[in-house]
Amino acid sequence: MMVYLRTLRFGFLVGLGDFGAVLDWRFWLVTWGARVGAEAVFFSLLGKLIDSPDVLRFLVIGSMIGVGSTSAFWASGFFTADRWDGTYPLLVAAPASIIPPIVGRTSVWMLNGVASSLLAFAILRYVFNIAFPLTEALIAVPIILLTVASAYSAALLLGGVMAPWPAAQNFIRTNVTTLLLAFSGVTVPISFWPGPLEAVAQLLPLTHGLRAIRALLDDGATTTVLNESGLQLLVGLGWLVVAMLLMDRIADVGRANGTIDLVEG
Amino acid sequence: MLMYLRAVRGALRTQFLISKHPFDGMGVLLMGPLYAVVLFAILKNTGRIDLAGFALVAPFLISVLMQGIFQAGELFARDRDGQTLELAVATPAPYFIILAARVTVVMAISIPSLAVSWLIGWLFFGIDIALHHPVALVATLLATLFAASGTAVAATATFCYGRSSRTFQSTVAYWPMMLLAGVIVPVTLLPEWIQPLSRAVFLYWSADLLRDAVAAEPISNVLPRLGALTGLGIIGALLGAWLVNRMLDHHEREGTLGLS
Repeated sequence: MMVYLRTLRFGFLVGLGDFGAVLDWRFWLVTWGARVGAEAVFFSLLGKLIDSPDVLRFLVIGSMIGVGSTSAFWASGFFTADRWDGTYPLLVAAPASIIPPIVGRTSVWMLNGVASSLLAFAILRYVFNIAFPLTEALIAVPIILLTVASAYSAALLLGGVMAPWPAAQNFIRTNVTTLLLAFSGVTVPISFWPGPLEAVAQLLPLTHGLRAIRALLDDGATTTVLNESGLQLLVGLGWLVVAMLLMDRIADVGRANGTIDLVEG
Repeated sequence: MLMYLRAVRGALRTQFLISKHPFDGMGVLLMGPLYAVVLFAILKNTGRIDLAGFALVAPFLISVLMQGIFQAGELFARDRDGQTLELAVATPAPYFIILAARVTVVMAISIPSLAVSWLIGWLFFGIDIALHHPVALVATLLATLFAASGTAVAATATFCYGRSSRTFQSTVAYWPMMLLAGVIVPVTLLPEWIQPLSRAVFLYWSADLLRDAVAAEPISNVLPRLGALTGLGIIGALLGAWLVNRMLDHHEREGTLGLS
């Protein structure tokens, strides 16, 4: 257990290095803030065009989670960072599992996702002047964290799935994050979609957390908030477990057939 | 003159072979239009199909911006990383001409996105958007290709300064630009102080013209607006030529042409 935590910590430090090579926190606030703000405002503006306060409010809350999820999905590209660095065989040879270094290194993008959502929350509230009750907004913070963390778990799984095709990573990640905006209740309620799609949407990493946040900020129905948060926790854990199983399998297969440090260009 | 034409032909062919990659070069034909799924769903859910023109045009503009920033904007730097810049500069043909031809191929790939976006609306949402002013539409698409290519030449020379954080910088530039250009809604919905800035962005003119071209209302001032779009393309190309030559001069003098 201690070994697990220590490798997780070192992985996280490497991840911070990936991040810090690009920007420090002041630079983050200005540049990433501009990006997150613009992305969040982008879809909400459609509410202005449609000229409906309800649609605007729906899009504002959805976009807040949407930008955090999109940011957290950057983790999928860093799933294979150790492979590119050529340190994969060393990690596999070490007595600890390969999971903590990968989770540690990529988790910095989960934190970036949570921070992006919170920043978007503040920006959207200011730009569109939408009132959210303070207590409820504070209670929403842990649910935002849970929801973005679930998006991160799904991103890990995606990273593992697309590991064999590095050239397609950007293409797949972009399309997946766009589809998530449509199908997990970010921009339209999932009941908008035909039955089978709606059923699938129940398992997507943002759906239940978003419902909980909407219930909390709109009318504060406690049962809905608790139920949906619980479902979100289950769904998020589900994605995480599958992602971890996949990581183990990638390491096993790579070791068995000698392709652990080979990447197709 | 004949030599230049031959160089252009070679550049076009080379870029076509590179861009043929289904995910890397052609990927934009799905990545941009997929936003149409999000936008058509919002409009249909709120019963505002009358605004379908916005949901048709925005994904196209997203494609153009994506392709410009992430593909065309990378050409110069990729040549440098791939160690082909020195060879290209050593040939008698001016590098700017080769770069401009290649940028045009890359940008041309993004143009059919409008058709993909239309198909998504028709196939999945049953929205049949009539293209009321086809001539203005085609003229705008051609002018957009020209302006996008001109601007991308300037961008690719600028981005080359970026080094390792290039992807990050591009992502940061991308979203604010979408707002500034009025990609999703007209800039009249933005604060007033932003609006004059928008007029300096070629996508702003393209967005406005395209939305008018698919709307039923008569379309006015087409020629002056096409002129503004083309003019911004010419400014971009001139700026790009100056930047490229300046950069090559600098690196040749310092002996750093092949270093990246």
